[in-house]
Amino acid sequence: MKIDKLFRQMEKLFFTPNDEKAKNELRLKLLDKMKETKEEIKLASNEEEKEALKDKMKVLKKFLKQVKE
Amino acid sequence: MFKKYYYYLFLFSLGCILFYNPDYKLIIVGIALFLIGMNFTEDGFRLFSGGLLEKVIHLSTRSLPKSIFSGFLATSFMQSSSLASIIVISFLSAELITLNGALGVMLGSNIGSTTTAWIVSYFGLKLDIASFSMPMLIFGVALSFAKERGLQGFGKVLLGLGFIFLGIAYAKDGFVHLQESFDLSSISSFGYFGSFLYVLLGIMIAALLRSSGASMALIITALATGQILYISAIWLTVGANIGRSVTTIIGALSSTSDGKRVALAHLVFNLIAAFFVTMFFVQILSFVDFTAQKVGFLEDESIKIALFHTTFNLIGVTLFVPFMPLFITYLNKCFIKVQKSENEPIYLEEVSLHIPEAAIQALRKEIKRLFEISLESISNAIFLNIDEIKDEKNLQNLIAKSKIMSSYSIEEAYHKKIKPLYSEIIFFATLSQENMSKVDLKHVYDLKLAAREIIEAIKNMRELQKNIKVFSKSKNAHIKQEYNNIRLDIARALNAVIEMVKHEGDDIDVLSSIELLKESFAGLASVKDSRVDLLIRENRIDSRMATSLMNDSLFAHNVTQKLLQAATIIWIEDKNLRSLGEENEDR
Repeated sequence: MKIDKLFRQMEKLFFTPNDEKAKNELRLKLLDKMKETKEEIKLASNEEEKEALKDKMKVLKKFLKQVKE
Repeated sequence: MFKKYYYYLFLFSLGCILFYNPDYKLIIVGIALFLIGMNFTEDGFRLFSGGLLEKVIHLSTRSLPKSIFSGFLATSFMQSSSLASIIVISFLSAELITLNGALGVMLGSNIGSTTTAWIVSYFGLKLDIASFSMPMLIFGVALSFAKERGLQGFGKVLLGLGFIFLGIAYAKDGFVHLQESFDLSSISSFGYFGSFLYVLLGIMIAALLRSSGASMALIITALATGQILYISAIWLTVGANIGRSVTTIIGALSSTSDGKRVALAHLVFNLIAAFFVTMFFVQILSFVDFTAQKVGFLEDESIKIALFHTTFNLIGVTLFVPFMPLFITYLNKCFIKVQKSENEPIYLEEVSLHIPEAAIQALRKEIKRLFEISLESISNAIFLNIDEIKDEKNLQNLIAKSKIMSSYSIEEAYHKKIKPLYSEIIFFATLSQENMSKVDLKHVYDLKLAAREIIEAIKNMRELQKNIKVFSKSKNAHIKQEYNNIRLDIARALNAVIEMVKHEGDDIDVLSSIELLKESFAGLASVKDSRVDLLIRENRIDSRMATSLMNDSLFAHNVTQKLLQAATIIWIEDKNLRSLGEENEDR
């Protein structure tokens, strides 16, 4: 059905990014967050805060590894 | 009660009219077919577009011009302003759009509804549309049996258009017959009183038919067959526009506060437009004549009615928009929501059931509420106040100072508050799944899973609380300390979840916090096992205490894990990001 297909294509085009595109967007978001966390580690005022941020960094690295796989 | 009797009275009157005056039969059949047609078109578009229009409305209500345009687009496409109203009210109930956006869509929908008048006056009266309707009906029926949703929807749209065209043709014939026995145009000789009567008649027609499209089709057909004069058709149009608000108000009586606000705004909008048109009647009619002359339709009164209908609504929008911020401030003070008790849902409105996006959002918000109520109950179950957990940095100190109150029971909270709300959530989720796409069904399934995880956390806490009550008052300092440690672990989990929810907004931050919490609480059960072994070996606790402690450590572990699992589903909307958390869990 042509009109049906047209609607689906329109929806795909505007609302549902394909898997590869979504994966890439997620990868970029994670890289940005890692950069941000790195800066926060540098600026951390105490050791406790620094440790918490380092733990967060480890989790982010783990996420990034999964996205790459 | 009266509503029911009015309905029977209406059926009786209809029967009398058909029995005693067969001249009206064709007109009434025409209207009935037109209304059936509109229902089919509306249903068909829903199946056909697969939620596309809902998405357009949701995404384009961030600015007023965009929301007006999306309202216009949705209504003129679907030929149904009532569907646009349902979408708007359901989105508003689920807090997907603001009142400003909702009013914008309603204004656009008013302009969009004028396209029916154009279709009827241009195609309906100039072509032999009855002959077009036959193949449309045949193919419409054949396609509506198709397996594919899109084809089914297209079939229903065709069927709807076929019925609409057939309805117009019947109404046209009916008016031709009626002209021989009754001349409605004689009322127009009553001057101002006649005009008032026509406005009133227009209101009644629109309120009775519950469709501005059907009312306009009726007015234009009556005009084209010479049953009414042009000037009377103008007043009928003004009345029909006001009458459309009457139907919205009747619908809003049983609706939410938001629905009532939209209905009131709609009425005020139509009254302002009608007042302005009455004040500048001559000038507006001259403008309509001037425009009709420019496009070569000066002699065509049906087209001029369509033009007047559009002008009338455009004027209304132009007059209404500058005062919208002021009016919204006023509306927000009207129909204030009555604070419901905790076990009653706030967001689960019937109107949202029909619109998948609104239903999913309403479910998500209600489950967030269930989550918050459950956090409070769990906090009370470890004999701490949720506000104290939020504010206190030294939780160990807080636990040491706290008193064990034997009066609080999470079992009672579960039956009185949590279970009724959970039942409402599951009931709403089940009803909303009808006509949902696979993707939306997966969403609802995930949300139901989140609600179940919350309930599981409560059930685990219920088991745990029994022994907390007993052992926290024990004379054995070792077992008392162990149970205080369990309370501390749960308090830490609650504190972390509250902090995480507070900084809601950045999904990656939330997910990484959840991940860290999961890791930190994962070892809870095994660490407890080794500690219990030591306590038994050193003879500090007896075997009965040891088994209770082992079981309860597992319950505490479950409480934290279930809460975190629920939080992941509720707060992480990005499916791909959420899957990272899930993958971690699998490993």
